[in-house]
Formats: sequence, C-alpha cells, structure tokens
Amino acid sequence: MTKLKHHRITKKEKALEETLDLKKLVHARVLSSKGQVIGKVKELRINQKTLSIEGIVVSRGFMKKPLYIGSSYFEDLSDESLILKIEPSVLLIGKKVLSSEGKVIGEVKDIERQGHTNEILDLIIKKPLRKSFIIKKSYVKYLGDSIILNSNYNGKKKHFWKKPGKNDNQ
Amino acid sequence: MAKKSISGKNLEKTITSDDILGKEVIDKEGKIIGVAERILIDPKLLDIVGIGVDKGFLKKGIIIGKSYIKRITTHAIFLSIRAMYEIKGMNVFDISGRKVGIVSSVDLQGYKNKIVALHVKQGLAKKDIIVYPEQIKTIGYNVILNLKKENL
Repeated sequence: MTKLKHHRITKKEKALEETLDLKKLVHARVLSSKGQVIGKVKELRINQKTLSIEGIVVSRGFMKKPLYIGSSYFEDLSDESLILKIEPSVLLIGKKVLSSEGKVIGEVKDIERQGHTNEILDLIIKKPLRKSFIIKKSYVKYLGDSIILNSNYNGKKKHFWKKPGKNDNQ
Repeated sequence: MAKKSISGKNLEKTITSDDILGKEVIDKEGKIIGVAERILIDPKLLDIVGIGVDKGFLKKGIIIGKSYIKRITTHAIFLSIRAMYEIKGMNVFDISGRKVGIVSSVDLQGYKNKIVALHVKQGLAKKDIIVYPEQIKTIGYNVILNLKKENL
C-alpha cells in the first residue's frame, strides 16, 4: 500500500490502495500449493491487449531452468509471495519412483504433459544401466516426496539389450 | 528344510522380525523417513506395539505405533500418516505467502499424531507465536496458514 497522496482518475478500476505495485512482485517468493518454495519471480509478463498479467517467470536458482507459469494457476498474491494453486509437475523431475511394494524403480527423468498444462500424461523414468522407460499416469497412486505406483503396475525387468515387449506397461 | 511347528496355527503367512528390521519406512506423503531398527513388543500380551525408526546420523529416532502402520511389504513399511514431528523446522507462511517464522516445536495430543499447537519462532528479538490446528490451511513442504500474519 502507498501512503503517497495522489489524484485519482479511474472509471471502474480499483483504488490505488487496493492494487499491488508490480515492482515489489519482482523477486517475490513463489510457493506451490503445498508450500514448497519454487523460486523467485524474475519477470512479470503482461498481455499487451488486455493489459492483465499473463504469467510469471520463476527463477529457480543456479543451473535450473526457469519456469513460466500462467496466471490461471495463481491462488494468492502479495508483495512478499505468490502462492500457486498447483504443485508444478515439472518439479517431479529427479524424484524417486517406488513400486507399491516400496522397491525403487527409478528416478523421474522427464514428464509428458497435456500440451503446456500441468496435467501429467506419462512419466519418463531412468535407472542406471537401463534404457529409460515410460510409466502411464494411470499407474501412479501417489505423487509427493516420491512417486508411489499402483499395485497393478507390473513392470517387467527390461535391460538395454532387450527389446520392449508388447504387453509391457512401462 | 522345513521346521517343525507347535504353534497350533498355520504360520505360513506370518513374517519375521528379519522381514521388518532394516526396511525403509515410508510415510503417507511418500517420504522415506528412516529405517526400521526396533520392534516393540508388549511383554504381557506378546503383541507388537510399534516400531522404532532410525532417521539417520545425529537425528533423534521416532517410535511409530502399530495402528499407524498401513502395510509391510517385501521392500518397505508404509505408514498411514505423516509423522507430525517432521513439521519441526518447516517455514510457516500466512495466507498471502508472507513468512511468519519457523516451527520450533510441535505439541501433540498425548502420544497421538494429532497437533495441539505449533510454536513458531519469528526471529531472535521477537516472541514465539503459537499456531493452533484450526489456523492451518496446508501442511506440505511447509506450513501455510488460513489467516493473515497480522491476525495471529
């Protein structure tokens, strides 16, 4: 909020006190719906026609790709933080994948999404000395600190010298 | 060679302490909280009461009651809860994402996994804040409250 006295020229727009200074939003913390600190706001992108915020670019730190997140995923905004409605699916990259028995199957290498949305279609898994393989979203039971698969997931042992079988659900 | 049994029951489907000890313990959120190091047995009832979990070097272990164990599989022990002791050290944010402080301690209801209050440290010169469960919106990677910092 600003304490500066000002002339007001508005039609139906909000009062100055009810708006946010965009300058303050740059470098604000970005939190996921579960409170994970994703990074800091690097850029605010504005739609040139509607003049509304279209999204933000989140800086995630050294050697990490920045994230561009659309405003439809914003939950709350303050001068200190921006809270998202979602857990960005790309943050699953690098997490462990466990079978329903708790066996480590591999690590998430990449994620196939529905277009550019946060909706996951498939997970691409890597394991040392193995070719990376795909696990469909329907086999995922829980996404959290690690990814736990359903008991109906029956990934057969596959090595890089073996060709994938027709009935494999990997 | 099969051993003789005089238990009066078919023990084929039972597991032994060897099947439990050394296994990873995974909480509801999929987090590996440690390794099972002890099995606690009621000396009168001869019933399993819970397991002791080793959380690693220089970390205090934790005891988890039998009722919070969901299943024991060939590779891990799955819990039906997230151990609320794990909240200690998490950041606390208000509804707008403003930082309130860090959880310094957690008060639980008796020996249950139910939060009574969180003690939040704001800084060196500031007083600790007590946060009650009804003021909490989400507990995930950090704690998000359902009210503004100034209303605490």
